[in-house]
Amino acid sequence: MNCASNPSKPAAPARRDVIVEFPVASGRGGRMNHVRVIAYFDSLGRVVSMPSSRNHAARAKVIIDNARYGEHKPMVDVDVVVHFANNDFDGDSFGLALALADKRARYGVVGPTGRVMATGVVGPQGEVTAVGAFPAKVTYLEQVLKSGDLFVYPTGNPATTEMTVCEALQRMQNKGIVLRAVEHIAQLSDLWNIGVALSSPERVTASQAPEMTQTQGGPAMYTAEISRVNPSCLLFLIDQSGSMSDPVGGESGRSKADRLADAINRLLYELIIRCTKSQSEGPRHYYDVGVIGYGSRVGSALGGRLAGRDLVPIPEVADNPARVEDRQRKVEDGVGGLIEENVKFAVWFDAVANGGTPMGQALRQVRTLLAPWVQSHTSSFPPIVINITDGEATDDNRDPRPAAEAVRTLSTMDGNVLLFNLHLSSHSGAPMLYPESEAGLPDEFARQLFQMSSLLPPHIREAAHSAGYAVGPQARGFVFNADIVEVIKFLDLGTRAELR
Amino acid sequence: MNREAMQRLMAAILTEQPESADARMALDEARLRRALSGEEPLSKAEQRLLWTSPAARRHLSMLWDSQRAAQYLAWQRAGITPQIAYMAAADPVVQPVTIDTHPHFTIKLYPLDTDGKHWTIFLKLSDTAHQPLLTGVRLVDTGGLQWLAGPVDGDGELSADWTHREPPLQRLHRYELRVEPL
Repeated sequence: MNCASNPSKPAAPARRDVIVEFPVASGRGGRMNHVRVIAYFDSLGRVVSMPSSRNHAARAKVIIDNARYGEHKPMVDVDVVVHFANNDFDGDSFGLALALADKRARYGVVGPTGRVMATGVVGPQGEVTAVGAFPAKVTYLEQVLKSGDLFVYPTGNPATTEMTVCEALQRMQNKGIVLRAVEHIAQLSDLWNIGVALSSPERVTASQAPEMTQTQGGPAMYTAEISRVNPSCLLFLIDQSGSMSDPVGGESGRSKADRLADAINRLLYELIIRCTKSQSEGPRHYYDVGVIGYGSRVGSALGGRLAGRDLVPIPEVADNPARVEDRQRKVEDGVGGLIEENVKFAVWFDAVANGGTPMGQALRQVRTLLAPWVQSHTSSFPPIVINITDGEATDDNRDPRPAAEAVRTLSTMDGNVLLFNLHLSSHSGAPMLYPESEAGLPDEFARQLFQMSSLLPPHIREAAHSAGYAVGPQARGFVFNADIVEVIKFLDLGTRAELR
Repeated sequence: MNREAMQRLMAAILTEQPESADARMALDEARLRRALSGEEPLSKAEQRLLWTSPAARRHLSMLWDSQRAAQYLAWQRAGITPQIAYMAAADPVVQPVTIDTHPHFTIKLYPLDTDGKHWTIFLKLSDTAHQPLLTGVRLVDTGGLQWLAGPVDGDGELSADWTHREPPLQRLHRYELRVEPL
């Protein structure tokens, strides 16, 4: 007899155990199931053991192969044991839950540690496609999920389902349930320890649809009136990395983060004024507004009662500043001098400067927020996203362009989501305003931001022209090396719209 | 009534059961062979038909015996022996165990908890052992305990959770394993 013994190891067995839940449609309702994946780091044979689910074994192995597409050794070869809580389900919609559990079990759990729910079909290169019975699943999940739970679903589903589903998703989001719409498993890479990954799939987004612009003979884009029936959406994406604690270029004293916070708070106040037609009525719901910060964390940067809220109707913004500060400003005294005057200054958003620049993750969150929004506001002027940063992305291999592309491919009937980028400089120097080409841009980072930026729609081009800017027909919503004056002008121009 | 008496009664009833022509026609030899190989398990309706036909059950039993014998022969011709030479360490630690001492059968044991009470057992057949497979397989130890049983999948793999009180590594310290046609 050949006697072999296992190499003895004093340490505990190296394995990780992760559960991801998935909804199963049942009639018009649903029920919950879950998949449990245990990864064994001492056992590298790429074995997917399915002890309790022979009828799902073949599909599960294919799904895990698909989800591991593009990964390298040794992580791609880690053995896993897969258990389902119940085997009374059919179809492939459990795929995303299994793929996510496999990734988190092998690479480690980061991000939400609470309840994670996923439904989606995982294709050969990790792409995530629509599932059947999505309305029934959403109806069921709306009843059972709670604030802080995470629900991941295919981007393709809300696009093909009725308005009531999008409304249900919106309600879930309002309840504090975190929604993530994805078209590739890689878009969820913030949910596992990407630092352990040896590579990421080559394909980041399945959709490479060209950006919609005004076309000859086609319907005019970016012409929808913004009204209470068809409100629009403004989303500010704010770099909160450590470098934002430096002063703005050419100035001394207050940091970029402080100055930017003031600019955003002032803009929110002006937006409220723009949306107010009469004192007695208060501001009208012309916009849903969000401020997403990215630095040591990615998420809503609103404070006070709005903390944690992603998209907030402008009347609610008006009612809920985090605080109102007494500030002083200098005004002319009428006899040639200046005097200091006390003013009230509403603050919704505080300056933060800490951590890296996870721009890719932030853009994915934007996509997650806006995907259901555009589906539930198909006639609206498309959302405008204004990204303000002072440095290069530190995630997504320092290339946030695919994530930006995924944002810009979202659309309402009036056009694609507009993504404008503003680079805030630490150095004095001439800013580059609304360029039409990459020529003259100083480096790869500037070219990335240019490529990420949408063409300026006609009404903003006209406003920019009226403000004295030389903007051509191919001008992009991009400013490089801006000082704080240009930031304020950029915000003003970027949020121009016809309100009814 | 105890279980043995119940089985005797059931056997007596089934023996006296009148024949069903429908069942004989529905469950022909080709269909039963596909079911035995695990290629296409019997549906619930077909299982009901099997209950109604003593002849179909005898036919299935005969085919099963003949396929098992054919499988033994096929493995014998391919030089595949059923015994797996392996013995666990005297004081095994709770971690995955790979038994790859056999050229055609690889067995892996995965602990599901830290104290080694719950395990998953995994068996993979080599292409040579898998290709001529006419039946399912079972993994048994020389103490008579069945570890795994059933049809392997398209990759020649089969797995199940350990359901016995004695931990598998203790069994491995006392017994050898064998892979047999089911």
